[in-house]
Amino acid sequence: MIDDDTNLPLSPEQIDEFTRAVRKRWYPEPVYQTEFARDITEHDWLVIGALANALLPGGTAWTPVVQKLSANPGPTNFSVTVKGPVEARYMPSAEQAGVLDFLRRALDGGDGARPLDGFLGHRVPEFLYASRQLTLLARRDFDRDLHQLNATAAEVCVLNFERDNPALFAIVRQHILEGYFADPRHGGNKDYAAWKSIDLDSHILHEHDSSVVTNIHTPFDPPSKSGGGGESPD
Amino acid sequence: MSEEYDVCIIGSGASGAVMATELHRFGFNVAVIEKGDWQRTAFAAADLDDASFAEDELYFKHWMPFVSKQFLEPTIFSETADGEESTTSVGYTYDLIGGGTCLYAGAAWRFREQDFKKLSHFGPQPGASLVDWPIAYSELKPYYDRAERKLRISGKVDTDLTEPSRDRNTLLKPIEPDRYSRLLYDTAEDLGWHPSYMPLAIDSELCKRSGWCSGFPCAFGADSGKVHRKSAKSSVDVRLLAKTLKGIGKYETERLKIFPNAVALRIESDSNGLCTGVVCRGRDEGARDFFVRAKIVVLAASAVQTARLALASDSSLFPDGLGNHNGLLGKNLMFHIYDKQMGIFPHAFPFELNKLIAVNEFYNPSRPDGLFPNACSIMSGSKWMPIKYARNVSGWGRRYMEEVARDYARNQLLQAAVEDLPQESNAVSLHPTRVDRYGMPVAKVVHRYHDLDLEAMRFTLDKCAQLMAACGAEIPLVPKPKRNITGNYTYHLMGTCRMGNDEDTSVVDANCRFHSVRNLYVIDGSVFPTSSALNPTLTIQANAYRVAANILASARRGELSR
Repeated sequence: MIDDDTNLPLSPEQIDEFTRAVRKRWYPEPVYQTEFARDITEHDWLVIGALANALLPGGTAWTPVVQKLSANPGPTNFSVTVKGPVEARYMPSAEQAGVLDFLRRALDGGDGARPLDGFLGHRVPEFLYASRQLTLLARRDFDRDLHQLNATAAEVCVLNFERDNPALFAIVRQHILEGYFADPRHGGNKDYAAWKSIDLDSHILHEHDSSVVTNIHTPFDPPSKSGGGGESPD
Repeated sequence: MSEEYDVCIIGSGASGAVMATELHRFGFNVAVIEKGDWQRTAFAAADLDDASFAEDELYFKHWMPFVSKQFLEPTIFSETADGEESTTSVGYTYDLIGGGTCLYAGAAWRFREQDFKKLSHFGPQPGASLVDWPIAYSELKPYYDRAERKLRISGKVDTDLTEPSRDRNTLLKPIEPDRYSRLLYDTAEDLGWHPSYMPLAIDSELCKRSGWCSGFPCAFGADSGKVHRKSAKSSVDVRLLAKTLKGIGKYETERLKIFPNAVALRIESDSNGLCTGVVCRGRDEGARDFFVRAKIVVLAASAVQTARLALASDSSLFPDGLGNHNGLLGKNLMFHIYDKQMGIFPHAFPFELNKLIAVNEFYNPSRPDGLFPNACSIMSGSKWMPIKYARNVSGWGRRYMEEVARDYARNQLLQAAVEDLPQESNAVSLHPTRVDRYGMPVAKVVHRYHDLDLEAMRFTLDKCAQLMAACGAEIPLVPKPKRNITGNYTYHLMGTCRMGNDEDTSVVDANCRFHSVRNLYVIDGSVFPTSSALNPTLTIQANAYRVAANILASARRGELSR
């Protein structure tokens, strides 16, 4: 059992206090690196990772229906053809997709070198609260920490947590989804795994080779590949 | 004494850029106060050296780099459903030269003839301050033509029964429809409706179909920091200002100067009740106030900010705000009411620009129990990006993931747009206690939709569902219209400086000049007496062309000399 003080859950009043304090700094000054990020312990990160994995457990395989595209070609300047067999998509878990890396950079600022580093600094209290409460629930019901539980038990804890804290849960869920589905440059969605899994035509979304992601090919190069013009107006 | 300009325009967006370039062409000496900077400069300041950063959902949709300054410098607080205040950026008032047109989807409608005669057609409605416009469509028609030609609007609207008359075709050919748009078009025709290729401020000869339109800089205009004339999106920075200034990134040419990164704090007026100029402050650390002296001041800062600045510019002659002689300044604020109907199709669609088709079959519907005063429009919606889609599917866990994976590529949207009836209680006022970082009172926004707005939205969503189902899509759920504008942003800000002939019931006259301050004009959406159901940008721009011509005529008659 872990019994240091930093893992005690925060009361709703303490959360309010944290939030007020952060909002105060948020207005009018930006909070790129919040002092509260120091309060997230390695144990909290383990719990947050387990929470993300409970939300997005991965492992799903499915085969998309894209064959119809060739039977019904697009407009003349933008025809779409399907090359090769359609492969089954595999959904990674939150952890495999790198959601935790995204959250670390977004919450504690990372090295501050990128535009979105630390952009969730004002959400540290919510994540701290989630971690501490989930620890409490897991220990109460299963005598273990969330990351030590099997998937079914973790799901029970997360369900209980969601029921008691619907608004806060929605915030945490949203940022975990952001980590999963955002551009890989923000730390998550490693190797475009989340985009591959939903069959997003990433040739249009990004400059990398579309054949990696999907068998749908489009005839023109995206702007960053083709240089995107660059003439001056006059 | 500092240089005196003929005209000082506050805001360089849809209307401000039109006014600035037009008056410059007429020979006026023009100053423009702009809160933001050129896209290229703003990108560089945000370390956006990578081309494809422009195409980033998280960055643009959630962090919103060009409105983020407004989060950090909140200026607007709206009432939420539980009566509490929250900050909002009331979006599409982006801090950029070119304003909201840099990032908008580009819908470029002409208002319908009937939109200008709302009261005459429908009579008074309880709780709503419905009026006719002081001008008719025919007065705006030549300026619509001019705006469409200058901005290179594309579309094919001859099949739309509500489309107002045109003397000549000023539209470029429509953008080639994608598969979803063709399906919608054909199905609507099968239903006996009259779909059209909606007019878009996207040059169909230049568009390369990046698909990143609504809420993003044009991928072919802003990437690598190279905003250039091949930008497909007809944002006013590229189409108008860059031409006059002879280059992107320039601030000054003979008789036209843009003051970038500057906030207008106050319009000064003299003892005769005439404006003398604008007090501004640079947004950089330690920047000093400066005064832009001008013979004419033109407000083009969007309906909320325009009203806020006029209200904050009180004087002994106008203790309730500059030009607020009858207490109406800030009132009759309108947004459009929007909702989206999702359909899940049997097969996948590629990620593409999808805002191409519109159905105005029910633009002015009649109900069995009487007239329905709200205009209603249906447009194909831009597809949701993955984060937004995932957030809107409820639940989590394995089944949730399966659902998202299976349905994302198969989902498409229809957008229902409904007229927001004007109400005097929907208003912008100065917040009694809160000030922004420049010491200026923040705007307090109070807005509730009218019962008829919600009824019209339910009607329109019903029609959307009918069209979706006819296309072969499953309808997972029908959204419920909401009473409040909440959240971080809305769009299409109108009202607050109502245009009218009677000075007791309006703020500005038919020429958009304040009744009580004869050298102060408003040219943004503030002047709209009613809102229609169509995107207002082109009408704002056509009206700005009209007002510019009227300012020239007034100047020639010697009416504008102080």
